[in-house]
Amino acid sequence: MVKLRQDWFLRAAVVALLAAGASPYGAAGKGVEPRIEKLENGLEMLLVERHDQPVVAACMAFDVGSVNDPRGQSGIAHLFEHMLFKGSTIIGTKDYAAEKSIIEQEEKLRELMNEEMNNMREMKRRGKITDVLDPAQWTDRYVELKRRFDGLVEEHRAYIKNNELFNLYTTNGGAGLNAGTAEDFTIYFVQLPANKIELFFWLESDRMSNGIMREFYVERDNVREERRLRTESTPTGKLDEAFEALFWQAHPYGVPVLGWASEVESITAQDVRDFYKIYYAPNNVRLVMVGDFDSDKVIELAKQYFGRIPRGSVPPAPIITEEPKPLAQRRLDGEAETNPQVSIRFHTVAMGHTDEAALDVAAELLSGKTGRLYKRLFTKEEAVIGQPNASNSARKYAGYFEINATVKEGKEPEAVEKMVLEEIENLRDGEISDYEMEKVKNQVLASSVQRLRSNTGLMFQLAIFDLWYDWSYINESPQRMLDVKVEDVKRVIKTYFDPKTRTVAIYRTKPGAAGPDDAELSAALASLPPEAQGMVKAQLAKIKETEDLEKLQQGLQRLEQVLASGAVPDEQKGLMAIMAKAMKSRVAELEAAKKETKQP
Amino acid sequence: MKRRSDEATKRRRVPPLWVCLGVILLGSAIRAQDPIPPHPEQIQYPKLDYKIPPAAQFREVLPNGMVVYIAEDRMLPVFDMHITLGAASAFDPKEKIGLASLTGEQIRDGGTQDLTPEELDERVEFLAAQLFSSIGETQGSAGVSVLSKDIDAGIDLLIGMLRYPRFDETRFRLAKERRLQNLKRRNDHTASIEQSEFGFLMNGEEHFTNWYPTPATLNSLTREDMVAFHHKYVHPGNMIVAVAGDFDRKEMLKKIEKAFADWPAGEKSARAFPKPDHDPKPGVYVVDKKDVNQGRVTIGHKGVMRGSPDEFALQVMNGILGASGFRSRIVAKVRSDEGLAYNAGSQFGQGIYWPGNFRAWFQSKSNSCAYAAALTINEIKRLQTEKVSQQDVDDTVNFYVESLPQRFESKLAILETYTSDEYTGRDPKYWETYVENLKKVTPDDVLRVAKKYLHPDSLVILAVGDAEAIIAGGYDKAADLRLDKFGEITRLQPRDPETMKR
Repeated sequence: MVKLRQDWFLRAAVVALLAAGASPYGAAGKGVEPRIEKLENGLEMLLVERHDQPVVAACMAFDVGSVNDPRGQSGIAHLFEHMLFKGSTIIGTKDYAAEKSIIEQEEKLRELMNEEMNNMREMKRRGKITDVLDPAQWTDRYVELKRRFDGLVEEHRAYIKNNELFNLYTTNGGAGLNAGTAEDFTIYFVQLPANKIELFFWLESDRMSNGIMREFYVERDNVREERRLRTESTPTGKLDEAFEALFWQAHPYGVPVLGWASEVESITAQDVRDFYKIYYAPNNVRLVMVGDFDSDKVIELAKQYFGRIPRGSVPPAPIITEEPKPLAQRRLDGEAETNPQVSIRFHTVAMGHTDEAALDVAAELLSGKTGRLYKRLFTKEEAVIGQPNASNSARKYAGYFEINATVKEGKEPEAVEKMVLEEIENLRDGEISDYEMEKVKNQVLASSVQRLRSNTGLMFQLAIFDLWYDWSYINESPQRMLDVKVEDVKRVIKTYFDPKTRTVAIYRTKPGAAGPDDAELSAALASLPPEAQGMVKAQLAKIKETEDLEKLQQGLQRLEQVLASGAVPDEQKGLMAIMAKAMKSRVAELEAAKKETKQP
Repeated sequence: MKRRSDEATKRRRVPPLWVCLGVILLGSAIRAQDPIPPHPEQIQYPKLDYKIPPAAQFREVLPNGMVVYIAEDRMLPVFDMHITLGAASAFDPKEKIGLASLTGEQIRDGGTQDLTPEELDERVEFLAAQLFSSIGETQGSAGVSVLSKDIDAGIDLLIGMLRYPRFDETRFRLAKERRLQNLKRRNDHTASIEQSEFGFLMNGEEHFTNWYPTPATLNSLTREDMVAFHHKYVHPGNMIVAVAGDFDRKEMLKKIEKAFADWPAGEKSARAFPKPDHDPKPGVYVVDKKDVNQGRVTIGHKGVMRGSPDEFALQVMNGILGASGFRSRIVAKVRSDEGLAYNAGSQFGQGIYWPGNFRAWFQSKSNSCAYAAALTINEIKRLQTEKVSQQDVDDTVNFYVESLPQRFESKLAILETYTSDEYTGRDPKYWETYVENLKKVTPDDVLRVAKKYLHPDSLVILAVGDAEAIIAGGYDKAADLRLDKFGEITRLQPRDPETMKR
């Protein structure tokens, strides 16, 4: 149940780095020393030269994310990130004047469509229709407007150079071109051959200031597909989202980055323009480069290209919401097609807080193959499958500590939850050995070096740390962890881990979701050759689906007779009994259904 | 809000480019002598003469016959040793499917002759090392990563683990139990159903790539099976080593030689794997999965073996079709133009040991799957009827060629490429001539290979999701288009997740 709410690239690149708690570099050597340069318009650069390969990793990291989505427009930060790949007034167009006129017509039609959509929403609230996105339920007026709109989109295409930004980057060796939106940052990145740096400055300064709403509504549909892909059509996506919303009562961290479905599909191009104007300004971004370049030359390029862009005229409003202290335990108990899982969360601190390092050490003591959770839950109790995990996630505005485990069949999630709480208590009240502390510190030292290996990895860390707190975190954090004493760990556990106000998610395996759900059947089946197992299961599936009560009752009667006659060999009795059980339960279901339909 | 937008509209009546520059740049920076080119195509770049470092520069052969790829990399005080093993699940006996994979895992998890599993874990985590081993379909891998101050301890751990695995009974039992539990979860994700079902449709039920562990085969596995498997396949003669990091090359070679000196080299296992004996049956196949609102669609047929004279033309053709990101046609059509899918693309498999598969894919809301399939198939057909432009070819070739420095970004990445090439027996000149070969491809070549290797009239179309809704179609732009337009529908019952039988 690892929560990766960020856009896809982060799964690989950043979350892995941050989730473990420990952080990069510093203590083992000289530390990272980026050159810092600030332009007059507020644009800040962090530059790290590394000359061993002729490549450069570069990014623009904006101080904006889903926490900045205005109310009713959840998902807008992420949707806008997509729009910046559609080009600008210069890139992606064959004739901007023609495009502009079409976009204006599109906007006018969309206003009418929005009015009609609001009417349909009203119809839905009154139960007259069930789905405003179902073409079959659209009003005639909406169908007509949509038809005209699609015609305009078609017409618009003649003036578009499809994906020109992408093309310019990739034909010049840009690799890994992408962007990601998280709750509290949005980052655009690419790796380039060392000689192509100027392209980055051209394209990034252009899209910071000249972006337009080209094919906005088509892209909004793609973003909706992204939400279906990640959240709505995965076994636990919707539950994961519900868990976030439960954990964050007030803070906008509880709102999904991909937005709530009804809101994402209603965002307008004008909403997005307003958003762009506020957050995409040179005073709200970090430009980070790591690799084979000359910093002086890069700074000259930056002045030349970004120096032309003025500061933003509308300063972004600060996020001031504080999460209220939880008053009570909160629990989410759901079913999904998944192994049973438990997640336990506590509210902790934001990045750079004085208690962060001790919380990180606590996470390390609990995690890993020699951590306390694995020893207790896996080795001693055999209550989980795989490695339980504990992590402290300290972010820009707030943080949390999370423990999760996948529960072994036959064990209760609640029992695993209790064991976890006991281990936290043991950490608080029992002994923490010097050996355990030394092991954690060895790992801090090693990861502080290992995490500098790739240019891209280092670039992400510098950019995100600087947006969340300060880039120097990369050097400070390992040192702070090395300074943590046993008493500090015990103190933060007392302070933050109050079991009375924990938030817990339990996911149970949806019954019947996959194969035999009972251990008896598993055991009986295991003794059969695979082909026979398949046949038995197919029979069981048929029984579960049949609507023919009479035939089922006859079959059951025959089966019971055979069983009673003693003619069945011992090794088959178990299976016969299971079949009989399945038939009985289906008979009961069908009889119940019959009764229901008879009622007036 | 409203007023601001009206003002903006008024201002935009002036010639657009200048207005925009005027508004955004406040007229300050753009001057006649401004050196910023009006379009990035006019940027003059410094020359970069990048050559892929040749394999010979890194390749050594030890006296025991073991091949070592080695590179000093002094940037950070770290050390990596990765070993490619000639061990594969292709070698599993049919009644013991799962043996290779479990053995690969238990080499690391089951302790060593001298160390219990718990002691090994403690040793690894106290050193803050990463120690791993696994065995896949056609090869295995194992390795260690440590700070360079711990090089000796790291090599000891790796060799101790590979040579003298303990195969602890408790860890073995727990691993089996975990796997048995996970078998039941094979149908949870539409993505995994799509992947396995397409494998069955392409390679048939009998090919070893479609042998899935079942409760029966997992329950039949014993510790002795693992010991025998390990004994048969894990020895220096069946390994290729890659080492990179903060060390002196000569000293490191001596160190490796010494570490393996008294371990008998043994035989190299055969790298020949059974080819599928199955002709895919074209048609439309649908697997039903309730409670999802997006269908996953794969469209394809058999591909080819790698190393054919058309290898590079096929690479460019597939790049144009669906493998060069947003530049490629399927992505441009299905995603950029129509807003039908977040993820779409294609792959033309050029297999190492048996023919790969050609496949195009997307995921779209149930009612637009049929429409997106029509667009995708149309793009496949178009490659056969319309010659691509020189620009299409140039852009696609550049997509592959210009990003080579990133592909070989680290020493370890270079070594891993060459280790893999050595294991799979790729032509040693492959990378030396890679750029040249790609640049030879012409639009005529692309048309020729598209005609020869694409078969849009005999496609296997697989859709996984809400079957009724996907088949019915009804997307507003093509309200009458149903999925059965592409052929008779075969509804595939979901497989039993444990046995993978229906």
